[in-house]
Amino acid sequence: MEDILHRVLKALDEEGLWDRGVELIGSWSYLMYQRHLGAPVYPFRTLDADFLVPWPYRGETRNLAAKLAEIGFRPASEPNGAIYFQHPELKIEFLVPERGKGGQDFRVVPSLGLKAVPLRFMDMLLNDSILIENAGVRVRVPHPAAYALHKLLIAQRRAKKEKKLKDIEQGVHTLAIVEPSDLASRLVEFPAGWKGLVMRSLREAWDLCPLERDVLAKHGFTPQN
Amino acid sequence: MAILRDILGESSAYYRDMEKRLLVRLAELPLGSVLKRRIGRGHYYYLKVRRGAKVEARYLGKRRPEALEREIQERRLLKSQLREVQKSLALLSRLDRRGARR
Repeated sequence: MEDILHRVLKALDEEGLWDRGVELIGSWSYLMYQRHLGAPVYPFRTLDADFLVPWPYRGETRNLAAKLAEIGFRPASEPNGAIYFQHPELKIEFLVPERGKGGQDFRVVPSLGLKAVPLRFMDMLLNDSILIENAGVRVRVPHPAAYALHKLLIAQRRAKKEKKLKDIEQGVHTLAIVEPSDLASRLVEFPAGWKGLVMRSLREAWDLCPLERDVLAKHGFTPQN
Repeated sequence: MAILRDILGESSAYYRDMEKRLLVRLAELPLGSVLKRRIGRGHYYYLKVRRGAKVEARYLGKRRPEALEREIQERRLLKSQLREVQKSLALLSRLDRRGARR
């Protein structure tokens, strides 16, 4: 059991961060879908857990570094100045949505004492989340439909083939627990360019994930249509 | 190490399950390949299947057997996936043995 992650989630819950919109994202949030929403097993988690912080952040002042230090995490700096927290078993990073022209290495979140990494396409996760209870501790994660669409969208922007494949696989596995109407209602709101990227991933998924063709067909994605 | 061990353990289970599902699906799909022959002015389709040393060609008709071609294409895809899955399982097993020795 990922005991250390549980302690991190508990610490963030105690600080009330889920109520302020902070979310666990990335492969560790998929683990929550797996455990609590019946998502199929997909074990390829990274050794870093990413937390998405709303931007601008309007929560109360919290000494997050001190809270994380209590469970063995030490702050460290990326070469670009962003701060992450290190533990022998897990690295924790904080992200914020990147908007406008972008290009900044980090964004300071003064009330949490963070220097978070700005990333594109985070708003779709931030604005569409659910709360799950994991072993008595609450955790906010993206809605599975938003998570799947995000994975399928960013897959097409990956330079590395392996990362792209992993994104597509994870997106398709998540679709297994998403209602077709939940997916369609979100996809229809996407700008045409984003929709095109998602559709390209789904077309590629037909051959990349042949065992999941029934999931793709459930959402109406087959090579014929 | 606990997290890494969990991920590796789950990865083995994932690949074993995938191998099983691939083998089940492969058993449902037709063997062989579609051969198109031109005889006179017409085209005729055959299913070529190797049976031991012999290759048999079964006549399919004049119409292109699209559904069969799709299934054969799927079979090729699944076979290449099966090879990848088996390579991953072999790697995980090597890691597991190495870990046990330490």
